[in-house]
Amino acid sequence: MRVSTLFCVLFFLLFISPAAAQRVTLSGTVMRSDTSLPVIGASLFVVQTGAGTVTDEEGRFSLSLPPGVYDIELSSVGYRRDREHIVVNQNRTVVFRLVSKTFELDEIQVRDRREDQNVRDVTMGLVQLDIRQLKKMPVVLGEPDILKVVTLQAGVSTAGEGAGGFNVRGGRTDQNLVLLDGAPLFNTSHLLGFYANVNADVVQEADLYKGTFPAQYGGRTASLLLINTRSGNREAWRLSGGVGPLSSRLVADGPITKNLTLLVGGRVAYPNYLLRAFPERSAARQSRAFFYDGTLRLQYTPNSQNTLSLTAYRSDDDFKFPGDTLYGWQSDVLSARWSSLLTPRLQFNLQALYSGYAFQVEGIRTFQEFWLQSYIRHREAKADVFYTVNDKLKVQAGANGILYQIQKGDVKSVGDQSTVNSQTLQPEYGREAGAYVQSEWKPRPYLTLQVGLRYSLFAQTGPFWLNRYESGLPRSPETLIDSAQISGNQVIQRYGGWEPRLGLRLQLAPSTAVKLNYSRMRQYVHLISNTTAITPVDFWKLSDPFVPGQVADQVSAGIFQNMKENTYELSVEGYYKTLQNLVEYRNGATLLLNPRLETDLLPAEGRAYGIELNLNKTKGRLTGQLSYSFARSLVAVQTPFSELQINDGNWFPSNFDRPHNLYVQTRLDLRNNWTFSTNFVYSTGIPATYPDGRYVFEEQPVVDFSRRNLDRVPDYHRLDVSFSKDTRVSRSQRRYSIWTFGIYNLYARRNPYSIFFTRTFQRTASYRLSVFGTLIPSLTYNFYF
Amino acid sequence: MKRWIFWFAGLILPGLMISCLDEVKLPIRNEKPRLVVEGQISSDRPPYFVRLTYSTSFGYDDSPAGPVPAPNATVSISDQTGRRVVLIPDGRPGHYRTVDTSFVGRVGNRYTLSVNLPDGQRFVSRPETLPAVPPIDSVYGVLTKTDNLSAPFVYAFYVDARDPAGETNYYRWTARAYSSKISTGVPCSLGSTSFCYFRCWVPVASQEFALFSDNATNGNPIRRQLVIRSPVYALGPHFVEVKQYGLTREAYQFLQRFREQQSRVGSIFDPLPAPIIGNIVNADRTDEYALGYFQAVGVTTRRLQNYGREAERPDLRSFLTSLPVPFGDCRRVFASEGAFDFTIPPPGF
Repeated sequence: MRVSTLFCVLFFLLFISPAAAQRVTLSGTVMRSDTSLPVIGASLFVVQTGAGTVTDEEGRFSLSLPPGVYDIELSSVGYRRDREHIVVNQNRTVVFRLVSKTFELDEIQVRDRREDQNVRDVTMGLVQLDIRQLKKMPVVLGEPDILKVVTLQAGVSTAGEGAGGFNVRGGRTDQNLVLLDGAPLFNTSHLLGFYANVNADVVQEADLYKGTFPAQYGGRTASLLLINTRSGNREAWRLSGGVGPLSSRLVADGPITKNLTLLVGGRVAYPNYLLRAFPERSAARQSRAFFYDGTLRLQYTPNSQNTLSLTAYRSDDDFKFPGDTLYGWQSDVLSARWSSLLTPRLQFNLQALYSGYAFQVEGIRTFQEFWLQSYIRHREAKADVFYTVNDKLKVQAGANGILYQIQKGDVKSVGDQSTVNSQTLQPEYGREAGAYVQSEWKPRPYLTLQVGLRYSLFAQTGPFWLNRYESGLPRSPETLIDSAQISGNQVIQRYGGWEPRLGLRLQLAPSTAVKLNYSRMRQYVHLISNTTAITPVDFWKLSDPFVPGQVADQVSAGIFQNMKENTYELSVEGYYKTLQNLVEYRNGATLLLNPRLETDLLPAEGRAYGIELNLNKTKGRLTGQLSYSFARSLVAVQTPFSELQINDGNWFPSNFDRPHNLYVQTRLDLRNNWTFSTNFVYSTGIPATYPDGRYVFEEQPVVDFSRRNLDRVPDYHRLDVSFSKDTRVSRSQRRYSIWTFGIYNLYARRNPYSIFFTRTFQRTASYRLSVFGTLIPSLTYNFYF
Repeated sequence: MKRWIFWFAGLILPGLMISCLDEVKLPIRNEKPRLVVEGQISSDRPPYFVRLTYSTSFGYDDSPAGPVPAPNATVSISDQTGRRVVLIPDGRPGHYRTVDTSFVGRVGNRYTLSVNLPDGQRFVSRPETLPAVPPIDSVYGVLTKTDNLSAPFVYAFYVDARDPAGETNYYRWTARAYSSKISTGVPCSLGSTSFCYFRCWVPVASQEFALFSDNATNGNPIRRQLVIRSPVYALGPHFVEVKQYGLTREAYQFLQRFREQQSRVGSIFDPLPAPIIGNIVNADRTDEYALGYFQAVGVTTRRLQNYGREAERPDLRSFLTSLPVPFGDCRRVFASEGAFDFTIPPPGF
């Protein structure tokens, strides 16, 4: 046979379905058996053909099959596996129901979505969090917390107690895209990181993509956390909540009419009444803390093809350390979605989103009273189309557009005595647009390929006063030539480019799989953050002529192995990331309220690499998770001027470089529905800049900080334990409660929140500020009706 | 009810709200000592001085020995014509001065400092062009009440100057003032009824780090630039000498960073802790810097003998009468402050 003919035959065999007869479509929804809520991300596997698919955010799926009789295996995290026997002779719509596994004691907690025989997302580094299992983990003050669970995954760390946000694979907090029903959250915590600011009771599912994420999403370079709220019970009204010593929450959801459901949830913290009971002059009496958050979701399903949903979210925090500044921040989110099944194989989604985040600082020290505000507003519209070509090939395409408005800082002096000057920085405006195409193709049962391509574009627009500086010299206020006024909507600067996303999954054996991923991601908004202050004050900034968009390239590979009939799950993942155009700071930079901020910013390249090891035991009375990761995150500042070089232009640890991280989590089921669980966390201390020399200049002693980030704060480790009692007597009991008694930081370690040096009289002193000075016991009551 | 709250608070809150601020001693990394250069050539008459010291390792307590001098270095200043003068040790270790009295700083010349250390390292400053400086229009003092309990009345001295339009100017002011203090004095001679040495001059060092750039005000007059505050301890004149320097842009930026780093207090408005990079570069490795700065500055000086009408203020008079008058020779009593006899005019006056 000639080579070309051979080629044609192979092509035919590989790519063309052998069944020449016409195909039919089996579509439908997978729902929970008890509440008729859809099951998101459930997988369906057709035994006879090896085809499969995964349900979407509405629980819908679509399979293209030759007419015949099939067995379909359904599975999802937290549900019992199901096998359905079905006859498909023509296009057919069905509803499958899955039974929840809540009532069984060998429950699976948080674990990686692991492939077994079903088709899985090829994206590696995907962690799906089963919300219902959160309620028994020891967390701060007994409240279930998505963020605490997220930060216990290998590859995820935080900058320390009280630091809001989290860091994925050495990335910065602003490089995580956290979406609440599609709208981004710019701040993910209450009380500087003690609580997540999304009520776990309203969350249906949370997916964390640590590495690459699908081409449908863009705009950040390190990770994607998708949080989807529940849509409200369709059968009956349910009430659940919890009461604790410092915070309480309540969620009610149910049907308003046959097709309209409502979910309302709120949380409030009220430590002030206890703080005021402390004696005058104590640190506690001078502290203040308060927050609330509320979520509302309306979902309207006029027919089986269309769903409209509206989510509204608001959170508000006030916080004061014993001292002289008050902090406050608010988030407002609105998300409206319309999803329509145009044909059984074609789905169309349209979303309109708004997210606003504002931050205030109020200074009340005598003669230095001020009020400072900064904010970011994000408005977006998105459209996506999903098409199932056949049972082996799915294609997705879409586009989105974003409008940004940022105020970096606006300070007003308060009262007549204040020596602080009022100042307002000019607001920044910009727009971003993206378009993508993505396909998932399964040419063989053991091989899945995901190929996506995204193109994103960013433009900074006026109104704006654009500064021009002398060339050939480092930018400084003294080399400013002039400021040109740019009128509204005129484009000042553009950035953009392609973002390929590739993934491959190879099933080597029934319990072993290998995954490979490559992706490129771009980011055009940056969080400017001074992490050496006693408490951080961050603000957002858009890319402009001086600050290009960030670009990250990541390659990752991993092996996944299930052992002893899926009792043990082992995964080893390695990654390597290179980043361009990171925003770094000049020596001695003044970040807050700097009207010429570009004179203090420098571009840098970054490099991150690591290995993550994860071992889960998912069955038996003792279950748990152990994860260890070795991760480095390095930065090198690029500048042609030798006086601006940081660490001589060499690679140095970034602010989030934590080489060793160990998390151990265990759960022991005792008699009578008691559970004992423990968490142990260890992380290498974050890099810091300590003084390393002394000299005298003009008769004044000067402390020298010649190197940046070459020191480390003391290591972070703590142990938490908790006991919880589930009051259910029978498995199908609908009204029950869970009591949790926990101790956070059992051996009372004073983990440093910040280290800073000050000079008093004739000596220099270094101080460690720890947020939790001792162990914190708590007792929480969670109820479900 | 209250007790229940306390029980809860006792159980839960001490952990949460005792956000502890502890002083800790941290392991400090030490870098090798670096050369520190302080030097200046100005449009004033010579000699010009250069001081060389070494940095030491960081320690929490101030080192009682003071800075480590760098003796035995070869120091020279040259201008753009290639003329070079060598500085000789001044007596105090680490201090060097010029001896050639015909080498005078001139506006528009470019000056470079060279330092050769005994260990073979060579440092060279980046050339600085000596800037012109406009004259001071006037220096005047204003009697001001402060919140400082030990010196509630001061004469605040201000400078007015005219900033030339059309050029970029960077300024710095330093000042020396002389205030007077009173004691009982001693009899002028044995058995005499008249007293001597009851009034002394006491020098006052400037606490202000006065820097200014005409960025925002180019061409407009400089008004009311505070240069020194001289405390009032007795009725009497205050003498003040103000020097107005014209700096190069790089010197201004260096001094600006220096001032910022010295004023860090841990507030959210602080700049990041950082090294202060000057203009002294290792001749063999041009990305290695020594600490400190060699400045070429234009100088203009103005002296003022301030005879104020402070006697007319009742609140000042009542403060002065409340001050104890120490017994004895004022030169001895106030010796720690550098006091000297009032009948001798302060240097320069």
